[in-house]
Amino acid sequence: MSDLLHVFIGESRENLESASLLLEKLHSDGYSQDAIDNVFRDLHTIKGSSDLFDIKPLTSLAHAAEDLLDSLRDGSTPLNESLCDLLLEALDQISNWFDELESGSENVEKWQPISTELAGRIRACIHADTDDADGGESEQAAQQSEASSSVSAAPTSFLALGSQTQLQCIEAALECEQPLWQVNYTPDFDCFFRGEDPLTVATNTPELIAIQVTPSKDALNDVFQCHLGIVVHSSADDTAIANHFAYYEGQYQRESIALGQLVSAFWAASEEYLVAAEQGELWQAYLDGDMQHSARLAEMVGMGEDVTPEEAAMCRIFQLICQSDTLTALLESVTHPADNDSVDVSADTPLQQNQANETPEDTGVNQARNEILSQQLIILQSMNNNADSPVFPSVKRIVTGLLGQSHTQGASTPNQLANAIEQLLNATTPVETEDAPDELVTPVVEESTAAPETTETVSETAESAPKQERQAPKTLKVNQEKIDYLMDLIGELTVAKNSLPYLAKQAEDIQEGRKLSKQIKAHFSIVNRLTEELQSAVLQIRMVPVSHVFQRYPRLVRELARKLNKKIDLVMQGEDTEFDKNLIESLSEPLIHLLRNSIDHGIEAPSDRGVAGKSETGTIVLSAMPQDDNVVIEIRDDGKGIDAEKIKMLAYQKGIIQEHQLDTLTEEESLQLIFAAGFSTSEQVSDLSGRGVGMDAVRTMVAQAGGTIEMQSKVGEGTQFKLILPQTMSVNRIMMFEVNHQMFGIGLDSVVETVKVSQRDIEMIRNNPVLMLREKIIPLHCLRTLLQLPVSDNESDEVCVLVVNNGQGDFGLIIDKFHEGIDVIQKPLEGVMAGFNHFSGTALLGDGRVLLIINLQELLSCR
Amino acid sequence: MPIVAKQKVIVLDGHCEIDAAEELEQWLVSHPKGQVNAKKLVSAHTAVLQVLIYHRPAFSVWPEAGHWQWLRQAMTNGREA
Amino acid sequence: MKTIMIVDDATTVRCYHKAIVANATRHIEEAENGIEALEKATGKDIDLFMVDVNMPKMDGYRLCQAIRASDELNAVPIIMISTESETKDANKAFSVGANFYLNKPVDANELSTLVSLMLGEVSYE
Repeated sequence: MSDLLHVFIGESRENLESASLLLEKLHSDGYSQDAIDNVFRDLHTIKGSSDLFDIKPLTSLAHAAEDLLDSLRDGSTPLNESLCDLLLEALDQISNWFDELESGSENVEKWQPISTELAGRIRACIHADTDDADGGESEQAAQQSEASSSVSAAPTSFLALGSQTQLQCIEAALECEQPLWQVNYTPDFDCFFRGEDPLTVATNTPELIAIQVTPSKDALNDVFQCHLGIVVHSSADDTAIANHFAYYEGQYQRESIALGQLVSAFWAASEEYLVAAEQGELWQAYLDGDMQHSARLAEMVGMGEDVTPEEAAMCRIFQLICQSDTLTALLESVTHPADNDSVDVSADTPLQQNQANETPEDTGVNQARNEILSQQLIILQSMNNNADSPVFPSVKRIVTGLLGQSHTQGASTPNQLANAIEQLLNATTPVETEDAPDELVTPVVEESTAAPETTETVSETAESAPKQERQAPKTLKVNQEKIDYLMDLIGELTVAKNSLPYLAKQAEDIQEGRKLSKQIKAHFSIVNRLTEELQSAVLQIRMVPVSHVFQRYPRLVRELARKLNKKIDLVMQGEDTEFDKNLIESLSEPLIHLLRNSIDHGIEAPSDRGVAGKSETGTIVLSAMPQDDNVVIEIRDDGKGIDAEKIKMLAYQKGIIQEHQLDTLTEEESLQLIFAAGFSTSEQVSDLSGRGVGMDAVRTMVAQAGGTIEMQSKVGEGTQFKLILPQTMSVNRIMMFEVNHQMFGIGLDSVVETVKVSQRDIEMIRNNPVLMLREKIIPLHCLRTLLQLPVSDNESDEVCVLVVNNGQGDFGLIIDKFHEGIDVIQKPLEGVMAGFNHFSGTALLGDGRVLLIINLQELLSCR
Repeated sequence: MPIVAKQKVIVLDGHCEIDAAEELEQWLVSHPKGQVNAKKLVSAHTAVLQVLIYHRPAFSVWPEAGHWQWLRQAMTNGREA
Repeated sequence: MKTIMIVDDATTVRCYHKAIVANATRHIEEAENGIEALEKATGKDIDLFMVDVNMPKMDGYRLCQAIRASDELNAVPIIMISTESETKDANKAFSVGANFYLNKPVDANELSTLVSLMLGEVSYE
């Protein structure tokens, strides 16, 4: 389960980050409903997930923040900057706790007082909006009591329909097996001016069963305003109806009407009349169960002379009911809902025998099973025995699974299935079912009232989803692993294509192979081009603007500056510069470190700055600029600069340099000492930058991203760090060379030239070999020696020198043989090899050999 | 002409557009005992039908076409004949 | 092989529930919201849905309605899992077609038993 903790922290950190960014925005730009909603959601997720672990203080704090956000988003508490800061403080605290959890050093008990204090402060800011809460509750209670007073579950609008309409509906519902749809269409009063013709639309509804139109005012003052209420019934399916009324969204609602609801609505309207009809004879016949007689009587009554069309319709419906088993059963459940309670508990049922035999372990399962069955029973009872109820199939499936096929085979209606359940549950169940009517009614009422809006909005979302696809900016959310996989494939493709020249060469050597060789070469150039394009296309996918990483920094700077009582302005430039996503993230840490250094050691306290004649507010400029194939990231501050002398002394004290070097090192070189391993200038380790990460670590991190770091500084004026990074982890042009029969590579952009010289051209200056090349002194290094390879057995006078530049000057590398330049995808060293800093990576050659690629900087520093 | 006003009867014929609504209403107001002959009525704009629903005039002839049942119901809806 | 679809916008929660219900005889599908759930469910034989209520884009209630309105998925049992513990929330869940309602955080044993029962793995023939 510690994996789960890992997932939780990972996900929650994302939530924290997103929430922080939004809070920053709220802080500077003010209230935004969207932003608040999202922050709320982030905290809600953290709270919910944290509940799975034993970290209550964290959960409570998140809860407090969530509650404050809730009151912010519904407007009962106004937003201000200090609330943002308070919430940010909470987020920081949670983040710190995550750090502890990750490192295993958490002390949850110690968290409690912090959580209590902070949560207390947060909750104190919440404006209690008790009036609204009360109002809302009493409103709801009223609705619920209203609902429970009516036994019928039909939508009230249906009840208001005339019996003739009801008749048409019932007849239609009996015929077709689909549920009926009732569309309540209330056109806007000004719809005529929009060119709408509601009644035409209504009368053209597909599979129309009935239309009922009612004036909605007492009198019509303006002929050109529409004041009508239209109710349409149709047996078409949901989509057809939605499509038909598509243009009239907002003016109509639709709800599905089950046959049971039709019957209960009918009964509500007709009960009085029918029970009294024929001096009660009609009703008596029905109660006696004499359906035929009852139907005949109904027909007769309906044809009477004084009967109104409505009454005639009522009779006709009653007739239909008597003639249909389905309808009779439905009427039964409306007139006698208590019938469902009769339970036939047979002591001999197999189930109870099973229960008698159950072992203690089974009780948990039995209990769960009974709970499930009881719940399904309640759901069944709310269906009014309508087998077309949307939830019936799933309930049947579950119950069949629990009770077994034999017990549920005959059950084709909800009532039958309910009986099957009741027979097999124990005798205590009836008590529950009697209580059920309250629950029965509320969910069903909610279903029918909820249905119009929600079904509409469900289809709206379904409709708008495709619309969104058409309109939204064309972006895709892609799993990063897929991109990485794609990159790997392309890498392999690059390598694979490289073997074609080899093959071509081999073909040349075969008789009659010249032609083949030519063809291979021709195709190679095509494949080469395509591969390069493919590669750069995929790499482009991974490019993100640096603002992606930079946007965290203003807050960081603000916080640190505040803690140190310094005034600092962070100016960011070139945030749109694009960079490989992986690379930019790996740079985040070194950049933060550099920023912290600037803030901690670079920028002086406001008073000191004043004394030095500078403005009290220090400036740090963070800029990103593309330069050829690279991106140059600069961090410049106008602080007190780095004192080269001081550095020199410290380096000497730490044994990094020797005494004589105190004199020989130039200012430039002295400054570079801060990159040396084991060097740290901070005498007091402040909690900000004192994580033990020195500049050498920064340089390593930058190197791992394939870049280099430079530093310049002037005492009293400021310091500048420059990071030069390859824009993409791309194809590198590598120059191959050989030492001791082994192939190595070096970045082609480091190579200045290749020269072959004779032994005599090499001179010694102070025991170090150098080469005079066109009036320039080029210090030489023998790669054999540097790589600790065996001494050469080569007697030849010729020496191959690879002249390279590492950004600080030209050097010469003595190697055995030159080879050509090739394109490779450089992969970093992993595992055991990862510790070897003088190699920056490996590449695969076309013939399967592995090329070790030299990291020039590192190599030269190992002397 | 879809709408033809006569002395005691106003005739609705074929397809009645929205502008017929105004004329129909004025005629019904000025002829409280007038009747409507909708024998050949095929279709009408809602505005026209709305006038009928609100004024509930007597019909001398109901539409021949079968799809007007709802209109009859609407004319008496809520106010038993 | 039974297929369970777990729908929740919190990765941690999905992981937790998956850890509880996954085994060699069950295949688990995951989705972050109702829309994704419906997309992933089409053409597959889902045997059980575990649905969170609060999700962006399409919440649990609307997902339930969509499932119940679908010809393909209509008969699939739905367990609704929510942070809300009031009766009205449970009622709402049932009114949109859920078959069972659980509160978060879910007890591992309870969920495990419930799922076995819902999948019909424990029958009383």
